[in-house]
Amino acid sequence: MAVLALAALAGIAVWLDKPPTEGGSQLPVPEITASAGAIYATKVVDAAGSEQMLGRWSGKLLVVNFWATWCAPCREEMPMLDRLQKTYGPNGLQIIGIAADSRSNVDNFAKEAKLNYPLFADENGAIALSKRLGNRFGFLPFTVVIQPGGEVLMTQTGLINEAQMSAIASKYAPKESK
Amino acid sequence: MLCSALMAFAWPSYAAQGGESSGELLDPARAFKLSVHRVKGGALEIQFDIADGYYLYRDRFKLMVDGHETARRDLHWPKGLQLNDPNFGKVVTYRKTVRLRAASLLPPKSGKEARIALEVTSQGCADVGVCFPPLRQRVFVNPGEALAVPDPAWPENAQEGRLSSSLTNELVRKAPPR
Repeated sequence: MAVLALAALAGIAVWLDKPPTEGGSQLPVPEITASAGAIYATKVVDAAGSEQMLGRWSGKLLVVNFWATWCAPCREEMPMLDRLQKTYGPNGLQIIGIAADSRSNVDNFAKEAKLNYPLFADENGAIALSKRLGNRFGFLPFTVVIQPGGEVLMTQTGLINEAQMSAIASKYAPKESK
Repeated sequence: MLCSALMAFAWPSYAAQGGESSGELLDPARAFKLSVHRVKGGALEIQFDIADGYYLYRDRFKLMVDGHETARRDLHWPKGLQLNDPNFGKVVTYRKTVRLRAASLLPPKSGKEARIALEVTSQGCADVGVCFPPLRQRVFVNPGEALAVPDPAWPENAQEGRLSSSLTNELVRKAPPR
């Protein structure tokens, strides 16, 4: 538990459109070099070899999670991402995973994990893409939250915080009241 | 579209930069400091000095000597720390200092030494829940040289150089706020 708590605290979240919560401090801003157009024009290949453009989710609250099968913290947060997808997916949230890994590794992992969001493999390009989204040294996991239309809302180096992500999803992909 | 990035703030207060002050993640070349030493008998030994809170994976290591990959069975590692990974089973990691030898790093039988080029790929993680992408470094060792360190001129040894060279025309550089 202590390790998990430490890991959760160590996540590095950078909000790109809001002031910090009380007690937060200002940090160097990640340099984002990808325009909305470039983000949406990015092509990724899923484990089955099918190519997708990120722009197909331009109307969604898009959460791009960079990960790898060899990255234990990445795998640790996937059940959390899966819960978010199940909860907020019907209301406009779309999570995708882009792995800095081989297609075969991702394919094998996907068969076991049975996640509710798609996993893509880009062994040679995932880290470079994440760097263009502010991941200076290519750390994993790295998560980018993009609001409908392409504006980057937040980047996160390290484990995501489920409550924080739920708050964002509630705002941009609110559950319909029954 | 990303103009709000100019108003960026961070939360929580944990920086993902390359500095060495407390609370910051190190860049991979500092977290896993590589050097090559000539030991008794003329053989070379690869050494990693691993910063506190970081660990290296044994099975993510790769060595090329003058363009030829050294087989895994020819790498001689000391005993490491064994972890049970839910996906990969037993994995071996190293902390603090690790030295390894390889058959390919023995002195030539002819006795005629020549300059050799090592290409070392390593990969590790930080305890805070972040992993580094595989780091490739090149080290030249001259005949009789007792100590060699990564070649700073090699693009992959300089992460920032690689980042800037990866930019393409479709990307728009956004200046960080001052």
